[in-house]
Amino acid sequence: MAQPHPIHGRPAGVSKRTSETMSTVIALTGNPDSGKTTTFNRLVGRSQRAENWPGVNVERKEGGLKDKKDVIIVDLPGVHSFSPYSQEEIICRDFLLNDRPDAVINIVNASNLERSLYLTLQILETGIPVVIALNMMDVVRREGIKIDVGKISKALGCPIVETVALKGDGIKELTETIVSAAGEKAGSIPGYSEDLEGYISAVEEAIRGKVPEETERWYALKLLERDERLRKDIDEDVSERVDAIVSSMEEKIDNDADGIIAGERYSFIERVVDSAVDKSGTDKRGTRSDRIDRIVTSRRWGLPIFALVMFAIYFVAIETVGGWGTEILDDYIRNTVRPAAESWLIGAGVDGWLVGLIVKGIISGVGTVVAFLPQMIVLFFILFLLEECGYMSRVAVVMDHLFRRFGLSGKSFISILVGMGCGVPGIMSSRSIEGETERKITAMTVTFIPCSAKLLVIALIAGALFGQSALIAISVYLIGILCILMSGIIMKKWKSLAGTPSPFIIELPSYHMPYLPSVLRLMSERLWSFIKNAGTFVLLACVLVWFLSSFDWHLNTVDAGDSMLAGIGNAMRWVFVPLGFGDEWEFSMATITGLLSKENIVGSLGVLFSSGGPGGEGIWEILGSMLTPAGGYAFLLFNMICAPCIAAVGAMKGELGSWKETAKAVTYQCILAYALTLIFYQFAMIILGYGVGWGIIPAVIALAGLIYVLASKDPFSPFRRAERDA
Amino acid sequence: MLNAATLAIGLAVLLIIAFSAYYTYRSLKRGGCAGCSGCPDTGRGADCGQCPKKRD
Repeated sequence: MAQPHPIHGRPAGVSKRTSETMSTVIALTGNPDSGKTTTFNRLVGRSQRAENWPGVNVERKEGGLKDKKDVIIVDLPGVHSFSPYSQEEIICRDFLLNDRPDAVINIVNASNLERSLYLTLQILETGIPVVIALNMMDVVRREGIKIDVGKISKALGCPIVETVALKGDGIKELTETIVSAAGEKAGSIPGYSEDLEGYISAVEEAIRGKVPEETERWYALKLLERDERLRKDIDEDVSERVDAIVSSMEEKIDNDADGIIAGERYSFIERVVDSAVDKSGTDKRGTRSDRIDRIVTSRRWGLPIFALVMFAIYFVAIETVGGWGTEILDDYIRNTVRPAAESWLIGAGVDGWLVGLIVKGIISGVGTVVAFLPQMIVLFFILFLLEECGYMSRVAVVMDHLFRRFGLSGKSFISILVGMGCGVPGIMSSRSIEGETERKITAMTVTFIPCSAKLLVIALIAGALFGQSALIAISVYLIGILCILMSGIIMKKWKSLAGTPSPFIIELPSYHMPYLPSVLRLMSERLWSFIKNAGTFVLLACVLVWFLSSFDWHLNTVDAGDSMLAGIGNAMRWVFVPLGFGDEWEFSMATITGLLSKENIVGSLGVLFSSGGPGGEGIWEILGSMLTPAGGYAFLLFNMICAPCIAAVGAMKGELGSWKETAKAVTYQCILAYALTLIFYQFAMIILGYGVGWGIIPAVIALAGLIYVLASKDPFSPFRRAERDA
Repeated sequence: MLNAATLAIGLAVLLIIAFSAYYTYRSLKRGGCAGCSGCPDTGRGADCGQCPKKRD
């Protein structure tokens, strides 16, 4: 009887299936950014969202093959190899070895064969039938590269299908090929040099009967590579025999074991590529992407180009096209929908309080938020175009140079880019950062960058006080990045968060024309989430704000100024007086409701100013008359930097591991927001000629404290001493 | 006493608020997921670690 396998505990030769049923299971593997998730979507007819950032997708996903639902496709995270160094690599190799799918589709980036085939060789060594999907063939053809697919197929011993997953080319053929390959015997495994083959055979001999027969070669190669994860699981006597073989190999070939294996693999790949790929038709100056990258990712031009691109985005989304759309929609809701609903309800004989709830509470509150939809549409459309064409990955490279000086890396900037949509996935994406301190700092600070919900507040203040200038949005994003960098310096001075930034490696895809349906799908998903939020969090908060602002503590109908909300707001507003927006209680209450979700800031103001100004003005005009530009910008600044919404706080807790750490992070955010807003407002008042107020004293103290913390080598030593003494 | 129009429309509004409250509660119960704009979880996938589908 076969011995139980020391690693997965099953008798040799017995495979475990993913599903309890007799479904055929196909694994989808490949390097990051090779088009795996796009191929997965094509195969299963789904619109699974793939993050375009390495390490963000670390889970596997399953789906039934289109028109053949008994064939399960499992989309594994993108990896470069099966070395057990990252969570993604462990997920992949465990799935292939322990679950033994019936076949593997290996997505290979045709424009980068040398690097992609390294993983292919390791997959072939598992003994599972493999079909290679040679993806991005359109890029290869465009660059003038000719690939002899037949030669590669013969060298690797497996079928190859040419695909362009983005357009769906070759997917039908891939489906047919993989279905016929599933369950068949795997093809021949590529051989290495005579010397290495001798050592592989010796290790295979040592582990025979202890691992499934079809995976003997894979285990042998991994043990020769001194794979620590496998070595600690094997019997001691086998381990000793393997050690002796590895030592003998290292002595004879005069290299480290893993270096020998990697060298053999790359030599094999080089031979295959040399014989099958003809690059004589390519441009000698490099590909078009290389030529663009020489400028776009250069240290000199990278940052100015990014700043220019961001300005262009917000100019179109906030100041012009999107702004015009918002003005039209806001005007329509305010001057058509609202009066029509009001007159219809009054005509139907509905009581005044209910008319107030519907018109002033729901329509005005939710309507104010929904009016920003055109700006969101334009902004997300452009951002997704840039993401899809490959530019945003370059931005991460450019920012890596800058972030590294502040103890962070380009990986933190990827979290920031994700966080521009929503803070929750932004915080979550920080888990792909290897260094613990860098990961924690990123999770704590990523919400400084305005998410799409905060964009509404930016657009509201920019529209009300600054003529919809795109510069307001740019300045807020810039301050967000400065806050992150500043926090990087400050937090690294806490001993528990000291450490060096982790290396940043990213595979830059070639620039390509964005696929419009994909951009539209991503955009519609974001917008749907926005509308869903408006219908839940915002609607509920608007009803609550309407109730609290329409009744007094004895539940009598009163003017907003005598309401419960005014009572609460007046008790709290003094906190915000030194920041320039505490003279009116409405702004302090809007800030508080923003803690539930940031859209509520706009929704609450929509309800509170639903009666309009004396001349029938809308919310933009009312805000413009109630706040000075300095006060309005201070209100914006505080709400951008202070504690994020409740969902983001929950995500932060998930990443930081405890409520205590989360409370510290939120407290830090609030203190920083208060200090920066105080400094900004007080100095702005002096610069603008409004004179010196008493608030300048705490502002100067805050500025001095901030400079001291940033400049001093160890500013927190007194706190640590006090903590130790306690 | 409430008139018929107030009662009918009031009930409809109450229903909308109840739905809104339920979905808000459900989002919060899912470990803080607010269904926020930009979250890649569209109800079909489970990319977000806050989502109970992922925890399951």
